[in-house]
Amino acid sequence: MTAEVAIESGDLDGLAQFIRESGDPQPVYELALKYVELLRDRLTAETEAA
Amino acid sequence: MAEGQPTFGGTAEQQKIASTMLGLLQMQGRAYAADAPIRQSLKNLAAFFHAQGLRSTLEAVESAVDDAAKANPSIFFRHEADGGVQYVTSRRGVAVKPTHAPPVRYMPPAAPTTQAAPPLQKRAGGPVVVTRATLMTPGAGGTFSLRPLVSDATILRGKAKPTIIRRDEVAHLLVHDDMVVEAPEEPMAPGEPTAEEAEAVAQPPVKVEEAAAPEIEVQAEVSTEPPSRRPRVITPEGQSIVMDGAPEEILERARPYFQSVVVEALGNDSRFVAFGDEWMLEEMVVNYTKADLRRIHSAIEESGDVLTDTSLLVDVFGKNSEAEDYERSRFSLDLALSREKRVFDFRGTSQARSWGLVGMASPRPARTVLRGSEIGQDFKFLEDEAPRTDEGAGRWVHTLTYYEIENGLLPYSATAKLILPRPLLKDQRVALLEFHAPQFNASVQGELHFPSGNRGGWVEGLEDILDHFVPGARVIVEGTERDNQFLVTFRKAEPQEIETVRYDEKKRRFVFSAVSVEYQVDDSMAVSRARFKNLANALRLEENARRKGDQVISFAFAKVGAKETEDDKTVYRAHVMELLPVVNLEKPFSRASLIRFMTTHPHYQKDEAEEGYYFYKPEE
Repeated sequence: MTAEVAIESGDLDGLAQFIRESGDPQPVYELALKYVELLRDRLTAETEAA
Repeated sequence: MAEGQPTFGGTAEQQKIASTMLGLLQMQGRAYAADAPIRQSLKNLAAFFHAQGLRSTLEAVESAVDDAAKANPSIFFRHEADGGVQYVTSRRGVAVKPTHAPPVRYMPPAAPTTQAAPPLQKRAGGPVVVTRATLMTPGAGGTFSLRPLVSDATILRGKAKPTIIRRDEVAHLLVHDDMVVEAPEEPMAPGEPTAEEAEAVAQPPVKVEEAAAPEIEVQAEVSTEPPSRRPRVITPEGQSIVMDGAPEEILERARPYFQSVVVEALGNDSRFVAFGDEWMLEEMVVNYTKADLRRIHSAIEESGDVLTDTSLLVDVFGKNSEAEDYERSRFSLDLALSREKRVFDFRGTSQARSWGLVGMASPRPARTVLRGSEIGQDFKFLEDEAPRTDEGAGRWVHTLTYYEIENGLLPYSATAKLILPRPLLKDQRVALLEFHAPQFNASVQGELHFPSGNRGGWVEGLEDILDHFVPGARVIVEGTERDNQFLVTFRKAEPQEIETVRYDEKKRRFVFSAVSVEYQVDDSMAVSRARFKNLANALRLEENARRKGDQVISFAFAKVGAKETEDDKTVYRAHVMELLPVVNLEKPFSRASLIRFMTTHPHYQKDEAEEGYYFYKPEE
């Protein structure tokens, strides 16, 4: 019941958009925070759809 | 177990311990790929075996477990990490050398169900029921029970029927075939479920009763309570991260892990570029031409000093620090300079990004007479120290040695690394830092030299602060809001006068002189006349002798050791804590590195009759 979860292309697109909208370079912490948000939302959606 | 069991080496007991260890690690890594690394610490494993009654003391258990692992190097990769010994294997029972940035695993929440569980023995890997359980104290007649711990519906779905598990499938989990087994929850924490998870399920114990050998009957009484629907991610280290709540809360549950995953992914995507710990899109990078880089080169060369990226932006390019694209321009400038490795040399930190030219020495207020290569060799032993991971300690309390004070140095030790910066760029050699000592109203610029090759790291340029102290003084180094600025302070103590050692350049000898101090001094590291009167008027070692640990230590033995005769030969005997302050007159040693040296060098021998004492036997 476990599955591989890598960063998906959608996550990377989301991070790119996050940097683009900020207009500035972003520290790793902020990017990890954004990734966690994207991952949480994706997993929650998958769970509810299952 | 479903996994194939390798052949174990060592004595019969070591084979049994190794077999049990592998079983425990396979349990912990049950959800991993067959070759994925599964880690566990000696400390946790020893706690488990100790709870089973193996040996009377924890130290003896640790020794037995470690010996068993060492007897099976093809099964357990042994390494020291996080201040202790760890073993890494795989579900296949093959030693795995650990790597960084392991893949994430996602464990979807189990859907609520009241469906009866299929017979357990039909599941893949039959004894998986054991992997989710804690083995409990056996009852009368050799029965024992399994207590499920987590909400894994793959194991505990509905009411399970009594199930048969062959005895040999669980026997290797037992230290002795017929003894009590109870796996401790606390020590085996990695990979085990949290209390929160266990509570969420609130499953009653699954009873296992021993049937006629060689089979054991399992009577599962399983709740039909719906398990948690919260999604979670399981890292390869076995950490279960609930993906529920605010992003800040989730990130703090496993910040290093998520950051490593993001860095690895961005590094493999050409759209992203990095400088240090910052990332930007390549499409956003401001272009700096070859002519721009030549202007920067000239500016640094003319200044004769390192220049910060902000001063380059403002002074060379006339950039307004309030401009909308200022941070983008700054990042782009640093990125451009970092790509010219043969010309520009980064000597900064994340917040204070300083640039010099390759081969250019930065001016320092004071400089030790020792060459950098010598100091790096002297501090080589620091890289043998186990790294510390307790970040957030906030301050570094350090006991000064004579060597450090005389040369204006501080060691870049495992503890120092918690306070002082790490290299921001790969291959960065130096970072310029500022040290302020408000109690002396002194400020200096120090150079942090990072470890490289077989050299240790150190900070130099601190003479104007360290000259205020005597050997044994306890100084406190702590960070500020700026990652290149540090405070050096001391705790006040009752004023006292110490006759401390110093080197008289005119007499070319060590002498003692009285100094009044009002700070804490560690008496065991003080070099006072009261302890070391034989050092008075002692000549110091020649430079080529000073570099050799053997000559430095034999010098210390001759000054502080008790002279004895053994088989008509002169030997010296001294305690390691008497030797330590004296060897540190000429060459830095930690207690551990001094003991390691004496243990491995033929001139020295441990005195087995008394703890802490060593003999020095000079060559004829």
